[in-house]
Amino acid sequence: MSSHHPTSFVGDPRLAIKEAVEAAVAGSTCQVEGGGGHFSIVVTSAAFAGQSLLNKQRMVLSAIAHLMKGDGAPVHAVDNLVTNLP
Amino acid sequence: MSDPTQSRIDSLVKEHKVLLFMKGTPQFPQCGFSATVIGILDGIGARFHTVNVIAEPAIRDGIKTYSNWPTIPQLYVDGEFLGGCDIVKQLYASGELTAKLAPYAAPVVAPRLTVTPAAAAPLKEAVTEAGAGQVIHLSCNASFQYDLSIGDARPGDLSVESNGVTLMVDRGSAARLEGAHIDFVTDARGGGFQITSPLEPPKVRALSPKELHSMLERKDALQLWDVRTVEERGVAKIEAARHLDEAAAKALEQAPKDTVLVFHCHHGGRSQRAAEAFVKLGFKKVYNLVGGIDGWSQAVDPKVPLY
Repeated sequence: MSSHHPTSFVGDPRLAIKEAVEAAVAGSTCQVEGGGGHFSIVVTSAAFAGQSLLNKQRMVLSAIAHLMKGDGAPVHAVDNLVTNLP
Repeated sequence: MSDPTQSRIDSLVKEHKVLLFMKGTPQFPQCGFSATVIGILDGIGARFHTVNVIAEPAIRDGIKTYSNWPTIPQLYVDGEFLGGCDIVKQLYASGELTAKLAPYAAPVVAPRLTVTPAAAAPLKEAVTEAGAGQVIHLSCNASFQYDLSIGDARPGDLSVESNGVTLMVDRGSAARLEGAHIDFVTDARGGGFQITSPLEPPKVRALSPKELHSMLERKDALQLWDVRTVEERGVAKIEAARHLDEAAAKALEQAPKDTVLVFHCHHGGRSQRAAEAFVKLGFKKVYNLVGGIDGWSQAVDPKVPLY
C-alpha cells in the first residue's frame, strides 16, 4: 500500500515503532516494514505466552498508541501484525 | 461513567448484539479495513448494526479509549470487544466467528443453481488443476455483482451441486442466488462465464453502437428514442430514432413493461438518466447507447455529422 498520509512526525517512524514496542513488551524483538503511514509489524516475545490473540495485539498496539493518535500521526494503519513466541 | 461519550458508547454496545464501529457505511465503506469486515459479516449473513465514526468524531476518539484499541474498525459481539480487521479475519478463517454469530444469522438454505454443461466442463477442469482442497466459490453482493473464483474452503459456506460441479456459496449470497444460472458463452471477444439470477433487479444495460447496429439490421423488436433537443436533432440524427418529447414520454410510460427500449443522446449522459427513469417505472429491457450519437457516427455511420 503506497497511499500517503501527511504527517508532522520528524524521524524514521519504523525506528520509532521498534523502539516503542521493544520498550513496552518485555524481552521482545520487533521488526517493522512499510511506509507512507502503513506498516507491517512482527514481534517476538516470551511475554505473549498464554495470552489471547486480542491481548497479544493489544500489548503491541498500546505501545505505539501515541504514534497513531490524531490526524497527522506517523502511523495511519498497521496492515499486518504478527505476534510470535520465541 | 461520567464522560457522556463513554456512556453513549456503553449503551450502544449493550443495545446492539452485533455492533461494528467503522469508517463510512456498509454500502459505502470509507476505508479498506472497514470494507473487509463488512464483507465478512455479509458473508456470514449476520444482522448487525454499524456506527459511522467519520460522522461522529466524538465516538471516533472515544471508542479508542473505551476499547483500549487504537484503530477502526472495531467489532463488538454480545457486548464483548472481539478485535479489529486483522483479528476478525483470523476468527472468520478458523470458523469461530461464524459460530459466534450463528444466533444472529438468518436461517439460510442452499440456493438451487443450474450450471449448464457448457460451464460445467471448464469449471471441473479449473478446480482439478487447482489441486487438492481447492473449491469453487460463487458469491453475489447486494449490487448483484457476481464473483466466481477458486480458493480454500471456508467454514459455514453452503455446498450446491449441479451437473457434476460443486459450488460453495457464502451465507450472505445464498438468497440472491436462488434460481441462478451459470453459463459459459463464447462471442467475438472470446469466452466467459455468464451468471444470471432471476432475483436481480432490472437495471440499465449498456449497448455499444455496433451492437445496436446489428439489432437494427436483424430487425429486432425495439424502440430507439432520442432524448436530445429539437435543435440538436436538426444538426444530426440517427435514422431509426424517434424524438422523446414530453408527449412521447407520457405515451411510452403506458407501453408493455417488456418492450425493448434504447435511449440515446449526444454522448450518453442524458440518455442514461432517461433510461434509469424508465427502469424505475418498471421497464425490464432498457438500454443506453454508449457514446451517444457521437459514438454511433464514429463506429457505425460516418455520414452522421459530429457536432
